[in-house]
Amino acid sequence: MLAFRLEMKKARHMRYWLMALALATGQGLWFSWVVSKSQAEQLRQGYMGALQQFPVINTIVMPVLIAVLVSRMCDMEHCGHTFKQLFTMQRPAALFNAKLALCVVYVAAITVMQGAVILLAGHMRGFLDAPPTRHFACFLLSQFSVGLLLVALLQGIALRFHNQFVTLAAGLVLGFLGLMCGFFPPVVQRLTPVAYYLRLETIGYIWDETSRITTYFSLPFSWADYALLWAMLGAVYALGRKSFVNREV
Amino acid sequence: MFLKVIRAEGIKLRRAPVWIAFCALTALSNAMGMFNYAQNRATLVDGWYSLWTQVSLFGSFFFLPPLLGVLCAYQWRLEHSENNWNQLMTLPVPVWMLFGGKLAVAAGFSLLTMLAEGALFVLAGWLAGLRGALPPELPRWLMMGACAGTCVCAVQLLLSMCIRSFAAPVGMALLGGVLGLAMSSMGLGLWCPYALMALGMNSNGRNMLAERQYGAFFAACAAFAALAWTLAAWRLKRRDVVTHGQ
Repeated sequence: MLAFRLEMKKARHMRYWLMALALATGQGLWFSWVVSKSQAEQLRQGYMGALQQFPVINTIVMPVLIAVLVSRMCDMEHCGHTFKQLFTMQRPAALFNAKLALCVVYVAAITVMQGAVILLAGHMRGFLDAPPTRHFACFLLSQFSVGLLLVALLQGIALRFHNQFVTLAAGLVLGFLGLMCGFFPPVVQRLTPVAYYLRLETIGYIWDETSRITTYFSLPFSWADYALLWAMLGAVYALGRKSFVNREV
Repeated sequence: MFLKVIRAEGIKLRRAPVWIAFCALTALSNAMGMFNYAQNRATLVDGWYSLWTQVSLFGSFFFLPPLLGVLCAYQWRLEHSENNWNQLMTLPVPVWMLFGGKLAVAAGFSLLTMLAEGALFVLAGWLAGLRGALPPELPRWLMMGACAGTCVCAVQLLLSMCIRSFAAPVGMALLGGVLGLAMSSMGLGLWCPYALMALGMNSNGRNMLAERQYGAFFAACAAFAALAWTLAAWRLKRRDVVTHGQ
């Protein structure tokens, strides 16, 4: 807990929350614009549409945003050459966990903000369907969990390499994989961390080319993929932590 | 003297791993574009033009601006570390050259990226089984993409010069790409530096720029780059530097 409070103090005046706010606002504005352009028919399934489209956007933007967040948190230690001091005062594992915990708080905040933006957009644009509770809960759970996996992966890289160029390049490559992962076969999707944004969706859609109307339908939550996600998270966390704990000061 | 400054900036990037990210992302973007094109031949019936949209559309909005942003942040990271600002500001060259040297190197990267993009596009087309003549507009798209890339570099260099964090300007480039997409959807692409790449490269394949707008496109690129350069020179002249030790 003390290590976490220390990380909170380091984060003062760093304005990490500004990035989260900018992303949620940008997504909200984009979605409002999409709704304003679409046909009135789409308002009947407005919330379903939002809960289907936000994860698709997240596959592209979240890896880069998390890379920026994690890189800023870890770069201060590299730039200040602080490991030689910190490792004599606190256990490296505690430092790793504290940084991870703070990133997790920000990822949770981004997820909640996205949920709030969807509700706000629905209220302002007059969606005709009620917010679907089960889909909403699955959306929050899946977005947060995949964010956690990305944080663990990118933090391992950010603490391993002094040059934060590597972390940001990794974020960009992950974002690109996210863009294309919808076309991957299921086996490859399961090996791609960002693809879980799509694999854990509980809403599918059919687009009618003649009427140009999209109809959304419910899908079951894939608990098998969710278990696989946590297994991958455990492995990535263990590797990143081991690499950090065993590093030469 | 300006050539010497550019050469010095080039030397600073020797052995830097920046090129790996440029090669990896350009190759990935073309490989995925080719894969997507091959999977959707029934709907993508426009041959080379359809392949070009698959290769360039998302890259020009979401990946090339942050990638150029990483390069620019990398260039200024060296000056932000230790006491290098003191050395930089005492060099016997005008301050506008310091920024201009970095911009020239970044523009070179932008041009090389576009050349690689063109070569890989041709290769991807051949591998996807396209055998007809290449689009005659391809050199123009690449040249205009390089111009717009230089404009993005100028804005990113200004941001990275002012913000000491390495990652924050890259995040801004990503948000800039999203803003660029929104503004070009509203027909205001020429007013956003991050939308110019997609406009110049004709990334959605629907003649995003009419022929009569080419002049406005180059004017917008030049205006954004000149504005960023002027602001940077003004700030370097007026504001005191902050070194790592302070």
